[in-house]
Amino acid sequence: MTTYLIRRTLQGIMVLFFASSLIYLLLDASGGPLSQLNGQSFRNAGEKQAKLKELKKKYHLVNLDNSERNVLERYAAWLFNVDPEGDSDPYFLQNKIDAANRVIASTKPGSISYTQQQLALQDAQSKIGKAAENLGACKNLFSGDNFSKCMSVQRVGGILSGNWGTSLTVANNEPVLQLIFGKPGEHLRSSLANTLVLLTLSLLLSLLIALPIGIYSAVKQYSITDYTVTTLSFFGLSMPSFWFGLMLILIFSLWLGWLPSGDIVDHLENKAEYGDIGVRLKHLIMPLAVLTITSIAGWSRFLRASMLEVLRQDYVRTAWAKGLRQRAVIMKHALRNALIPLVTLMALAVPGLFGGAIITERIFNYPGMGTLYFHAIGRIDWPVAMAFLLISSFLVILGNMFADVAYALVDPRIRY
Amino acid sequence: MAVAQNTLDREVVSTSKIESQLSVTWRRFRRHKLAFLGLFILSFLILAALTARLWTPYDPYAAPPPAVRNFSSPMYKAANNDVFILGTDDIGRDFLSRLAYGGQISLSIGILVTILVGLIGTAVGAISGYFGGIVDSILMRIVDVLLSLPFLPLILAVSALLGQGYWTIVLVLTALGWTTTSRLVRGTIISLRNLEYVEATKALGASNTRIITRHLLPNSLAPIIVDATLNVGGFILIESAVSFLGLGIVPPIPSWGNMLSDAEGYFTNAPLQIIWPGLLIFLTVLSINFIGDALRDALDPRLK
Repeated sequence: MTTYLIRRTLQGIMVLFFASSLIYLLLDASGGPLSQLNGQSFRNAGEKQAKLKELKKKYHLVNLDNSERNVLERYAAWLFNVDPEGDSDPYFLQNKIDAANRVIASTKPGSISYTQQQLALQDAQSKIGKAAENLGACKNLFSGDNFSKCMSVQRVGGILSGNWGTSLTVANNEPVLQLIFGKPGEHLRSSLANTLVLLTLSLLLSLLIALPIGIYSAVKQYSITDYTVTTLSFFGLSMPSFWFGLMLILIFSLWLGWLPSGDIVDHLENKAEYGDIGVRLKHLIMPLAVLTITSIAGWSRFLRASMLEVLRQDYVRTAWAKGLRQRAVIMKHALRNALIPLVTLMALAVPGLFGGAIITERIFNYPGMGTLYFHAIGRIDWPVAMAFLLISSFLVILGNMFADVAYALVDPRIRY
Repeated sequence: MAVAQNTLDREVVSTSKIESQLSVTWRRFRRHKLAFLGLFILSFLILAALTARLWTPYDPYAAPPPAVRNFSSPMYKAANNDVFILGTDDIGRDFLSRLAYGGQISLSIGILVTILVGLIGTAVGAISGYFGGIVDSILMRIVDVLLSLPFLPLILAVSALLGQGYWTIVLVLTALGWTTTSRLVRGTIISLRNLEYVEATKALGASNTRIITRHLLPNSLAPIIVDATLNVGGFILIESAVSFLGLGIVPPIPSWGNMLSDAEGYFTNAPLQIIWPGLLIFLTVLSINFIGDALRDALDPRLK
């Protein structure tokens, strides 16, 4: 089992790597971070060029000497950017030398600025040789001992070094990691925490409701309950979730006034703390209903079909013939075998959860990662969008790994 | 002896009339009453959308004359004697006409994307399933990676970067939606390619293309058809979700999704505008699901 886990983890990391490259390529091919300039108008071409240059530098689309990078270099720069910064950047040092020379040429020797600039000049000139050599090493990263030389420079990292960028348009220059994971000390209130609460609760609730419905429907086949459940499951599968959410708001918030229609706390009515479980649950009811309806419909139908197939098997007949009670036959023998394909179905449903989260959070104004992503998409905030896609891919792959392990645990025939 | 003969006679099915596969399928399809309801609703909606230009009284894009009030309720008669059967929307355009043209857009995107996804998915799945080996490995690795990406967020991101429009959304949905079909086709082809008639055809010297196109694919049509039918509903849902979120089809072009998002701020004024577009999406997808389920039962090779 441990070897299987290790192998599976390595596989997961590889898939994550491929997924991240696919996401980056897809977004890069559709325009990349520069497409935020599409809708904007500029006073003249010069202003547009300046903004373009600034963005290209910010998103590592060009080398330090402003030469264009090809797509592989861009992806590598995004992942583990090795561009040096500050005193390791020869272009930065060259600019300092030029500025110092200009000041020296225009001031009197002996004045404060003259001596300052002389010192700065000497300092920069002593460092620039090493910096240029290191930069050369970073350009041809994998030849000779360039790798160690380049890794020793002081640099701005990429995704793998923890530099996920700052958000341009969604939150004014706030670091993306802080935006998603919350300020230190407030991690439980962060967008990611809110969304995870929503998603895990919806998974658990779907499972808790779909299981009894599916079992009952299979055991009492062709009864009224069975027909009702089957027809209702069609309804659930065909329901557009955003319409369902809007209808719920219409009925329960506007016409009946029972449930609040958005956010996670009532800001005006009671200054409830974020930890007040009652208030949070009240705000969670409708979003959970929207998220779970399609899952419940699909899973209960699937479980019903799976149970029906299992109940026809010979070993179940043997169990009946042995005189076991109905509960023992169904729960202990039939259900355990019927659950196995359901695990696969649940694993396949995890990617769809994030799409559902975006829609649900948008309708109910729920402060989670979904609304963050939605705003980022609307204003083309590249770092936030990439961060969301990366996190959700990671969680999906993690979910798949859990599903595989659960599969191995649930099915005793599988031995790795 | 006579009793045994009778029971034997009763069990023998009459083979004097040879039924084609189509008529067998139709006979089995006929048993599902819900599917006929679905067919009825769906054909009504498709017909209404196709002939929208003929029967809608007003232009869905044009700005209305100032005499018309916005957010009116059904059967509203304006000051200039125009009658609006379902009322007007937030600018004053006729709601019914917008629903019809929106139906055109939503339904056509669903069908078009399904056809494209069917073609691409079948091609990839057939090649992958038939040839096996390294081709299969590579293609299925790509499919696996694509399946482990969150679908809607990626669609939103690419739509936002590529811009809005009909063909953008068609392109994005096709490019990211062909994976489930290809997996399905690959599974079917794998289960078929080891059968004896394929071996016989190979022995007779048929080329690979001929085997795939003339022998394997026609026999694997059943799951492809069911999958395609259910996909139409799925893509209609996804397209309306994307339009609802503001990407894809944007106003003034009506799509059932963006009509819902237009109406979202006006809960108290015009609740009907929230009910109708979503209801139409729901009915369409429901009908498609009924039909698809009945087709699946009718085409299932295990129940003969």
